[in-house]
Amino acid sequence: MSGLVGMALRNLGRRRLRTALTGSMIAGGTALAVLSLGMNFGTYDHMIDLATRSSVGHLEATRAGYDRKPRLNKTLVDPAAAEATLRAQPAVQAVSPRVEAGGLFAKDARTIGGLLVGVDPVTEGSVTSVPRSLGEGAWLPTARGVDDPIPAVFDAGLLHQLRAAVGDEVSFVGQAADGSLAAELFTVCGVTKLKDGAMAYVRLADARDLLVLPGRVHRLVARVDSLRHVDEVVLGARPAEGDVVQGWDALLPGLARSIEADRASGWIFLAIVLMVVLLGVANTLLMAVFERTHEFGVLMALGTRPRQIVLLTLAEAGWLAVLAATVGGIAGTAATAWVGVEGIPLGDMTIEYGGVTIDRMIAVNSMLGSVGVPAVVAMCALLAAAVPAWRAARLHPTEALRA
Amino acid sequence: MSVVSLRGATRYYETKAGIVRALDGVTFDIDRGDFMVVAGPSGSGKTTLVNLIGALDKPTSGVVSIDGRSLADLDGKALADLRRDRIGFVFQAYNLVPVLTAIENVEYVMLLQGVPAAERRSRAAEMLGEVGLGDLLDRRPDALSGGQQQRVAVARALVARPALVLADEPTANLDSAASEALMDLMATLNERHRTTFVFCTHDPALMARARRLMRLRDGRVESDERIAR
Repeated sequence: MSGLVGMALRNLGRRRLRTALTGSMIAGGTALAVLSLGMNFGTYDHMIDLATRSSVGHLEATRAGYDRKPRLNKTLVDPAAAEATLRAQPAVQAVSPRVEAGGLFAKDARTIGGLLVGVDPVTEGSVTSVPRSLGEGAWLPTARGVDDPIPAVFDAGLLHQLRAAVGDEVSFVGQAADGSLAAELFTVCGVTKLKDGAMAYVRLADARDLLVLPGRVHRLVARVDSLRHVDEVVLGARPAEGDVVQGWDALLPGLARSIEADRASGWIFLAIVLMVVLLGVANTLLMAVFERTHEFGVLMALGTRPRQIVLLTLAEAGWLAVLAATVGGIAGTAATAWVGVEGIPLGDMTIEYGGVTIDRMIAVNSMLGSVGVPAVVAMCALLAAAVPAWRAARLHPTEALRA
Repeated sequence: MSVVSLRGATRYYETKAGIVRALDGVTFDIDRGDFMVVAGPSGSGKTTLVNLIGALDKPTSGVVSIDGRSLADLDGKALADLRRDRIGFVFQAYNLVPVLTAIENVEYVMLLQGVPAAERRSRAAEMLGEVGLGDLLDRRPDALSGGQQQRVAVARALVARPALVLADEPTANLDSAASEALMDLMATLNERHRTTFVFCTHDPALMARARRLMRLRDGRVESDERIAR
């Protein structure tokens, strides 16, 4: 048995052209499938990263139901406990608190509705990219004098509607948590690039003073080391009763649904790639069996059993499949890593997807891609070899010898 | 005791032109130790006969038995085992496995028999030495002349010490010296181990050494004589 398996490996080495032809087909298909899967995963990760960095973070702790029906008084029951349970998990890299309130922003005769968000100027940058992605001006200062104007960073869309610019004063009118009127004058210190955004960021302390929310938090926004760990952190978090921790997919359900739908088409594409590989391998091996009919006749005349002919044919296919799929897996993983670092710019062909603009394709390696895909391709190739092997075993020795 | 027994063995082939009776009711025995030549013109049924007594084919009717076992009762696996353990073939067209070297070709049957690698290597090398190819062990068939390939095929047929050797024109591509050496080797094996040899040949030198000469014509035995040597 082992002699025939060894002979199969030797046969591959001595039929170099055919081995190279079939092997390159398997390796190429594997590499393509690995890269395709990597680009799918990478693009999803990129989209999620863009979406979460622009506002919500990877996950958030809020009062239960706050997300569906935000109310000024619906703050976390125990912000300290929620922060502690998040920070206790090794995957969590940063946590930042927020308070927020809807209201009217006005400049001169223009009044626009928007969301006032109180953030920690220091920690906000570690959970979202807002502080680092200003189009103009500067991010919020960590401290200010009692008589200094209250600084605010506005989304470009809101500021544009107010016809205001950096350095201008914009008034805000809303309701405080105690039922009083919350009115304040902000000085625009920076502008984000969000042309359709309607938020204004102020220091957490200023927002709490204005909204009468001392020590209270509407959202604890957190970032984890990898998107793969979000579910793990959400499941592992133990906030106080009445508070909840939710991942990005619950916070951005539209994006999650879009990705889920696209993932299904990605699997179909992968299945098509595998089918092409399978048919190609089956065809090449079938042709090889036709070419070798006489040789199989000789082997049978010498006393090779039909089952041993199957073993020999499958062993050849198996060696080839494993070697070629391994090479393809390595090549695909390397290509995925390269695309992961360099990215493929889309130029003018940017994609609007689930509210996120994708300007480059990013790929990311995974165990499923680097190990799972080559294993599946190798198994498919072996499966494809079953038909030629079966045909070879059914040859009649005298007819095969005449071929 | 007969190694091979044919009783009314008939083999028809269906062709577009109609049914061809390649072998037509042949009855005879091949005894252990026979050194036999089957002669006859092209189309006389020699190849069909060799296919039947080599367990490569089954008769359309009649009975062909090898070592007392009727081929009709054997499935593909049992027929393969019978060929592997009892029969050695020397084909006219050599029929070496192209991807295997000379020594690997000779080793192949022993590999199927489960002979340990070192032993089969040594036996194969020894047998190739006996047919004068001791220095060409690692050459593949496409690097050997026709005569050299024929000698590898003979070595392959003899190395596992089969009870029956079927050889189709085994000396056809050999010069007279090589041919003589090969015949000596086969005669020695025949005498020493009582190996049965059946040759299909037109070679007068080989016919001259046969102890039994059978002539076929139109699928029937025309004559079958034993010759005292």
